[in-house]
Amino acid sequence: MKQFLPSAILLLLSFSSFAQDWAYYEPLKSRGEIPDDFTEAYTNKYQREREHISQNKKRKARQTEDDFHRRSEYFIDELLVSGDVIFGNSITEYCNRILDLLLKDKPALRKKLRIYVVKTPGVNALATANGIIFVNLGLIAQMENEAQLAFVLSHEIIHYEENHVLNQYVEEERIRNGEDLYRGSDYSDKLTALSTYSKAQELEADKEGYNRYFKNSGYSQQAPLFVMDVLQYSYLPFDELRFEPSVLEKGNFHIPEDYLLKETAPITANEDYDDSKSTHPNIKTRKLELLGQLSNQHGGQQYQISEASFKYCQRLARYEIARLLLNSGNYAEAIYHCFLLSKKYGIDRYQRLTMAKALTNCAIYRNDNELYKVTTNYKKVEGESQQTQYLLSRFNKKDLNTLAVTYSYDLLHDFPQDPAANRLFNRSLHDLVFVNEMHPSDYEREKRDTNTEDLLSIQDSINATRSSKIKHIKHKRLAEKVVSEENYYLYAFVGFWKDTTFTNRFNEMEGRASDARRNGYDPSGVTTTHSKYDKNYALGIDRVVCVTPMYLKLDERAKDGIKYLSSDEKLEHYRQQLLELSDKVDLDMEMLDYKNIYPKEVDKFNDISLFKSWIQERINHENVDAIVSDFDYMQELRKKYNTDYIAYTGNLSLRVREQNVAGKIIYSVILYPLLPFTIADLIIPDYQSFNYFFLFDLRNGNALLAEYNYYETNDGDDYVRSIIYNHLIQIKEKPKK
Amino acid sequence: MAPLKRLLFLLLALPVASIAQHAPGYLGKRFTVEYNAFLFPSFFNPNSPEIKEQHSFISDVKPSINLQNYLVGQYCASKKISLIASFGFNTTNFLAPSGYGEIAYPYEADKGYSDFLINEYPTMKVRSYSAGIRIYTQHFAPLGQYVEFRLGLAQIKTEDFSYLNIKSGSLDSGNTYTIGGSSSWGPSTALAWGTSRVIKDVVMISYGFDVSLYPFGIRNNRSLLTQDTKASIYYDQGNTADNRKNLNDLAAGRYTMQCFLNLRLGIGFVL
Repeated sequence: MKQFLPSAILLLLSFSSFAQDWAYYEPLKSRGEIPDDFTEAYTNKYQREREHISQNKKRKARQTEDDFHRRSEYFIDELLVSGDVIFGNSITEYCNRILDLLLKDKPALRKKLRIYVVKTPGVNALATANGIIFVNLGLIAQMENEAQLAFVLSHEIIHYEENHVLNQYVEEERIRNGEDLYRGSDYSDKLTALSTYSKAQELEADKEGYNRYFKNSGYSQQAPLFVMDVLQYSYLPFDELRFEPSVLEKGNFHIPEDYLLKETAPITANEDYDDSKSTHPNIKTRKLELLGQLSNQHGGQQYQISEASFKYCQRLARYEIARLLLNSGNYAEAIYHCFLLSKKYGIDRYQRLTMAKALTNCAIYRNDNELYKVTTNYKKVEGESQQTQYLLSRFNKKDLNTLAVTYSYDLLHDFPQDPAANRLFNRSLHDLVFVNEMHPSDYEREKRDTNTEDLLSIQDSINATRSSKIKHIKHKRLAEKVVSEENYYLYAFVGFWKDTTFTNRFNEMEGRASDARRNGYDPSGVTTTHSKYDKNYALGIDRVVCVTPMYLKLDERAKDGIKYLSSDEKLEHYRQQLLELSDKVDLDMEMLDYKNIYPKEVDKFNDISLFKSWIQERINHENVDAIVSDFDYMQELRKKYNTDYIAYTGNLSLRVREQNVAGKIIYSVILYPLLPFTIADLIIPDYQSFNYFFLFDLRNGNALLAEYNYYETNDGDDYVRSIIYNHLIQIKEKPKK
Repeated sequence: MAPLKRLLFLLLALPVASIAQHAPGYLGKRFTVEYNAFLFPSFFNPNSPEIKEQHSFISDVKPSINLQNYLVGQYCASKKISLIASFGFNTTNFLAPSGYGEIAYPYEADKGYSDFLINEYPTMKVRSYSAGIRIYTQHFAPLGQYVEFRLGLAQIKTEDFSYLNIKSGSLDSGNTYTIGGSSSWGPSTALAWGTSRVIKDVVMISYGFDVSLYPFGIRNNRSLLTQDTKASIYYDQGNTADNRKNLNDLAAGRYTMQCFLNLRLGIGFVL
């Protein structure tokens, strides 16, 4: 323990220097020098790994291992440059300290391993054959203590140490090819064999991870068992609290009772599920195996590095997950997640802002009748989080928009100078007035008189015979009450009317809407489509940032379809062409790519990640004019890169397998004048290629240019250059008068 | 508006309207100039004047490759359409009619001269001028696959053609006659499919097929499978107007077949 005290102090000091202001939460960022894993070219990594292939093996085995390294390095590289992987931050450093502790007696092994954090809510960790351990934020968010995290890392160490990933691949090849024991096996048998092998490796990782590194680490010996419980329920949010609608009820907006489920769906996770086709043993099997190891083991500590650090990292992970849920359009989950955060840590601006973003975008999707794209059918959700899915499905357009306005105004009221709050309020108010055609006069100024209603309901409870007159009056009053329940949201702004900011902005928006309608504005909007080649954009833009272009070469005839080395080469070439052709049209293009930044440029690394996540969310919105949830972080980037415009482009090329060869030969022998054409057709390879180019305005998310070019040719230099040039000239040229 | 007028209007208006577009052409370069070679096998017509066996004029012609030369200028009017102007120049030979009703008995029949001998196959030159449009189907003009349509005029010129009357089966010769060359014009139309590529942003290569029709030669074309023609040379008459016209008609027939179907290969520059 003593030897770790300095580390713990250093860790705490490092945390404090990067301490989060939770109310103004900033996305998780990488820190320090960028590791080579991120910047080194894929081809170099692949060449280095294949040098480890033993020459004593048979040719087929060497070939299989070579294939493995070529594929795995490619996919690992893709993950590293996805923008979702971070290094050097508090969470990564914390995990590194745990790893130091576990491997204190194996410095050589420790030196080979690197830990990076993956920004995803999924509860998982992954070890690669080249020594990287990826730990998901979801895992950090749900682990109960440091000891559980340590066990997970121990498990991953064994995957690396015992070469499980490579062995799994080799075995899969043998099974797939029906070699040795698997000769004559049918498809079902092969699946079972694959599953069995994989499960055996998982059990080995549990067992050896415990025995080699965890048992004598000083950690709580019950942790491995409890980890299994966490994994069993990992598909649920980090807590299971009954949702309180009051978290959304601002102003005088009260959610009707029938908008909420009386009981949410039960949790059906079963630890003894059928794992016959699964890669992992079921929880029960794993627990039983572990119990066999733990039978005489007791004691240990839940925290050895620092409980405070663990809780800090966990809170970071949970706050980041709220942002990730927004990015991926899981708004109902984001709302429930923020509700849990408020219960756990107290409500703050960031949680409220996240919920405001979720509600505003839900309203936008609802206005476009596409809410189903960002919600899940509540019947497929278990547990308390089902409530928010159900709730959102119950809203119609006007009340959901009213809720968005109420909520965002409540936030703005508390943070009047906050640009994000302002923007959300403006947008939600705009949609309420322009799209839903609601006017200030539609909303009530006074609260409903509930006293009279209460007295009536008390009187109703008394069983008595009344006159026809009284009965009919009551019936009529009841009908009026039902009507007013449908329009419950009209009372939402009762408390806001005395606030001049609210009143003035509502009236102003109303005025703008009236003017717009007089000028022929149609809120339903018309989506214009334009033909592929004739659109003349002429945007007149002088500077853009281009973020991580993509290039993929595929071959239908190849085993796994991807031409890894070729893709990497062509990507580098594509980047150069973009820069060269930008110069040609005098467009100032800054290329932001992980492979062309220096190790010390970690700020740029973080900027690229933020841009990528913005772009990905924007693309996910497709034609819906939703707000990209990271908009509040873009202001700084726009200033830093001195442009409002971001380009995102890529190219795919697929070599297609020749179809119907025998048929073609037969008919061309019969119709022999066609023979030369058939020979030409069979000799000349068939390709399909696809190029995309987006240009977005970071200020409002507008897609100024969204081009998809599909062509049945190869990706020759001339073709690609021609397409790139066309896009760039459209960006640069000013409209002709 | 009649359909044809409508089509012509469209053909003219589209390129003009699209001139206002940004960035037609390859990297903004709108012009290309190209040499095209049109190639196709010839089985019954010679491509050189040389006759292997002096005493034989029967169609004992070895297969050879027809070659026509074209210079093509292209202007990318829009991203999909380009305007082309084409100048073709071609020199070749054709088979003189060899007999079986095509030969009238020589003038000097009383002297027994019933056959003729030639030293060279008749020579013809073609100059064609055409204009048209190309529509690019996959990529931006002038790249990728295209369909082309041309209209034009062709001038068929025959060179002087000399022959010698001889006694059948011997080399005992009579008079030498020369049928003078002549020239004629006719319309042509063409449809083509091809693919163009650009190398290093400068060099253009193209390949494809061309189907052309020169209608004025249809009646006298010497098809792949037969040697019959409609025009006749009256060997006893020498340089008569009929013979000159018929010689030119035979040349036109040769040209009709020559241009009917060709493989085209091109190389040029993007300007």
